[in-house]
Amino acid sequence: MDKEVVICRCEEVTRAQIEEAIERGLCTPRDIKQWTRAGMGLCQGCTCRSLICQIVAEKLALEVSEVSPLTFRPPVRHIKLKELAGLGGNDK
Amino acid sequence: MTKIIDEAEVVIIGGGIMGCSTAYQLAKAGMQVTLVERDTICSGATARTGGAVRQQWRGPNELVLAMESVKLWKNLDEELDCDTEYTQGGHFFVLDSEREVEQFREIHEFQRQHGLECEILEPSEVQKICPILKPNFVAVSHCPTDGHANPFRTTHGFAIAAARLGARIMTGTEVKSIAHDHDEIESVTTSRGTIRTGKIVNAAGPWSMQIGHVLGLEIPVKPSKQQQIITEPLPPVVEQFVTRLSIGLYFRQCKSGSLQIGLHLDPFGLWRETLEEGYSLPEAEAETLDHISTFNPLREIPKRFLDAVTMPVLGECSAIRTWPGLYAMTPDLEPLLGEVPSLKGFYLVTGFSGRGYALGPIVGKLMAELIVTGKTSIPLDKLSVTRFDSASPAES
Amino acid sequence: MRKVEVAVVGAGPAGLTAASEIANRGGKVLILDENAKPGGQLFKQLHKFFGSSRHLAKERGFKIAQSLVQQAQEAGVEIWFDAIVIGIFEDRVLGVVHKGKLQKLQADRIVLATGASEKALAFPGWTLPGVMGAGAAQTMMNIHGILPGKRILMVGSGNVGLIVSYQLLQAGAKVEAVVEAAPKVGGYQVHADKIRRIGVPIYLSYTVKEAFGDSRVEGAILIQLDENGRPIAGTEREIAVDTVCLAVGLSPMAELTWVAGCQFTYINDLGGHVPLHNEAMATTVPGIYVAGDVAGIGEASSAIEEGRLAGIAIAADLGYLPNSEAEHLKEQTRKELDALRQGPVGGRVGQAKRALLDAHATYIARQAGREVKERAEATWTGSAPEAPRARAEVPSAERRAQGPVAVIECYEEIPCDPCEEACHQGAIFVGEPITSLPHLKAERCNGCGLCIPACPGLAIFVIDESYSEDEATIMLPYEFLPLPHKGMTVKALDLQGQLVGEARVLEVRNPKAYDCTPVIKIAVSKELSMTVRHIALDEPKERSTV
Repeated sequence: MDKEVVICRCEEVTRAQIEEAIERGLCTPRDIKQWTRAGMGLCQGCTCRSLICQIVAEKLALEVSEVSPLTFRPPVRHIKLKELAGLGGNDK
Repeated sequence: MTKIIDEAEVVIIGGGIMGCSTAYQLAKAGMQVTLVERDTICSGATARTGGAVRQQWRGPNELVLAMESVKLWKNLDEELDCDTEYTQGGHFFVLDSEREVEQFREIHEFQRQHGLECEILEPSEVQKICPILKPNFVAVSHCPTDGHANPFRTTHGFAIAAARLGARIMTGTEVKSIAHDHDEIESVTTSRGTIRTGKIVNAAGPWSMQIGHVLGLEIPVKPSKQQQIITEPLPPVVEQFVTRLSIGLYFRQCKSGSLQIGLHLDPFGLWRETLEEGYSLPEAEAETLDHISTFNPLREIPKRFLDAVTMPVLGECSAIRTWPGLYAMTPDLEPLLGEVPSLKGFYLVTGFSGRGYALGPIVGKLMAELIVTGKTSIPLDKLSVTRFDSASPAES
Repeated sequence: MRKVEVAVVGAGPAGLTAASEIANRGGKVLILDENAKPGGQLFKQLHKFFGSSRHLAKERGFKIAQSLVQQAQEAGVEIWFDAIVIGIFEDRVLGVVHKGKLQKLQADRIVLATGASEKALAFPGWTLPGVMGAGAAQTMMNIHGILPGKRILMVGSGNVGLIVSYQLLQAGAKVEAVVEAAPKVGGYQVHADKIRRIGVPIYLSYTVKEAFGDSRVEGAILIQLDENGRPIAGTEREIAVDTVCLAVGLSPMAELTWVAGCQFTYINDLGGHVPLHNEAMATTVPGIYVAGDVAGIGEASSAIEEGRLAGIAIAADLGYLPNSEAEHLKEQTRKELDALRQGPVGGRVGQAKRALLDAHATYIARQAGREVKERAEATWTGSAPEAPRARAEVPSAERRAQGPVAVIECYEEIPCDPCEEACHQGAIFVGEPITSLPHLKAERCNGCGLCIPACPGLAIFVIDESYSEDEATIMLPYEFLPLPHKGMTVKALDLQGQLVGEARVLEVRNPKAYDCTPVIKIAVSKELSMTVRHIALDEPKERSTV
């Protein structure tokens, strides 16, 4: 796969950047996320998390099942601060 | 006895900022060091820190450390060949009563004696340099040489640099037991095997107490669960790291543009003693060691934040993630540094009570000095665990 | 904070069914769905579904959704739309953003029926406007009435890729090609036949190498793969398209399940990381259940049955159903699920789900400190062997010469039997198990053609070689607009969409009972009776060859 392909669309992290992180010794998706920001964007990795796992599996000759994927945290959808604060509100 | 897999002069337990900084400095000093981390580097307390690199509002024993640390922070990118995103944008303490302002004037006086310049700003002055703060406060205590950085980049930066200098970093490796003969350490047994060593550094943060128990030692560190929210990236809206004690709120804008907003939760009532009457910190819902978020902060954090900033634009901004983090709290809220007298070669680097990140660079340097030469360039005796020996862990 | 007895997240087939099972027995259920309308994926499925006649088979997806919703509403289930569950916290507390505000709910039991999300495929140019998920294209088209593009490349020949291709054709787009990385079609043969006979080529062992264009997709480059799935240099072919749809698989949308603290395992054939659950759909977190695609990618019919299973288990747990009756009902439901999980597609899912239950049992045993014997097939990552393609039961030439007779071109074991029910002559037999290939008793068949619109796979034709000396008639399903009219001359296409001759339209039947599957009767040269399977009103366009 071409190295310049963008893997994390939200943060525009390319395959090359991810491979570079792995070469530095950042070997899990979480390490890669912390270093490159892949998976930290608005969609929180919903598109790229499996791609990152695949790249790690490929580079480290592992099964995808052996790669711990990125974790999920609330809110599982992005929500406006004012709605979380209870200040929004359009009681129809 | 499991298989001997390694031999090291020093074994560091914990891959957070303290462990990695110490590993780097020890490797730099030519020592054979192995760091063991049960999960991944920067997966514990350091991963959840607000990232403040603050000097002001610290106890007397810490101020000197913080100021020395800032000197190291300024050159850290170059030293580690890594972008730590360290920026010196200043730190605001937003003050809500005359009594608080008085307290801070006293603190400034003390800080000035050590060479740290701070100022008290009126709301109108604050408006000019930080327009997103709603001018519903009395004054702001500002330290222009305070700042913040990226905890992930910094910690990985230290680990990568340590490895480059010959340190062995073992992730996914959990400490099971520590063997010692009389008062001398012999080895550490982990989930991957045994490492022969004579020196161990306990940099396990909120889990330091558990490591102590492995040795039958009572290390007075209790975890305290906190919570933060991060937003989508925004254009630059605030340069300073902002803390508002009366409502337990703090926030900063990361280099990526996201706002990182947190709340000081207070399950043990430790903060209340040091704060003004009438301050309302939300109750923490659970005092567990896990990383499961609780509900209430998810509502409280945005509420308090939006109360403190100009609306409505910031209300339209989305929160994309929340996480709990743990402070490693000691009974007097000051860190534990130094060798444990009852066990030669066992060092503590823990108990930073929610203020450790900024001290990472200097603590690593001092611990390396201590381990290599037996002495430190800044005295650490006031921060030794011996100050708790005679008493049971007491409320301060 | 509001207390609810049962909170169901997701108003798709699994969630609606679970809710109805509980509410019908007296439980109080609140369904929370982030969409504006209920039905989950069903509300954009326009095609007729496989399944048992007892269970809404041959109904179009969105109608199945409507009847499930009605059932739930009649049972007294409360449903909140535009309600986003953002997290599940300790003690089964849910955070829900509804009507612009965050609310706190506390439930006695929770069912997570959150469905699936589309997998991604990254290649140079995949971020150009015009590259989208097949599901996204389907939503755009079927819900919002917007054509995603005019010239489509479909990547992936699973059922999603085949069905969405068909729907794109119905909507007026041209599907230039379907590419499939594996050496065989991923979805059902009948779905593939539906688009092949329209002239859409399916290239096996091919993938997309690159999409290119200035500010949006203007073309793509396809490349052939060797037996190890690696691209073969020099086999690149350019294809002019303005849209690339990715139908490369689904994976459970399991964020909430994760956040709630449920344990997971990785099973490729279920879509990746799936939550562990037991035979009653209970996860490793007490009081939290899963059902439907989130518990492993499957079909709507199994989502319904899993929802039923979870609903029965919860109703019994809360005291609305005596345990003995619950056990019996659960057994029945499990038998239904087993029957659905047969055949080339279902069988793989069946084995994968058995592996999931094994993994759950192992986890529970380990937690209890019990010794766990290594099971031989603890994780299922392989594929079922390819089922041999059965020969069509073609009525003999002698029988065909006698008069009209049905030809059922359905060769795969699909859990499906509406053809049996549709025939008033008793000429079609499926029987048990429901995956059996349909058998035609040719002597009973009177050629009425009622089976044609009843077949969700559109795989039945009625041939009459007794029509005249030189001609035979063919009745075939035709779900396209504009419909031809009586007397028109149209092009006759074979199963590969190739032009083989002309046909005269004798009849166009489109009564309400056919539920929008018009049946066209055409006259063709007699020798073409077993070849012609589709018609085109225009000259079929030059097919790009690879």
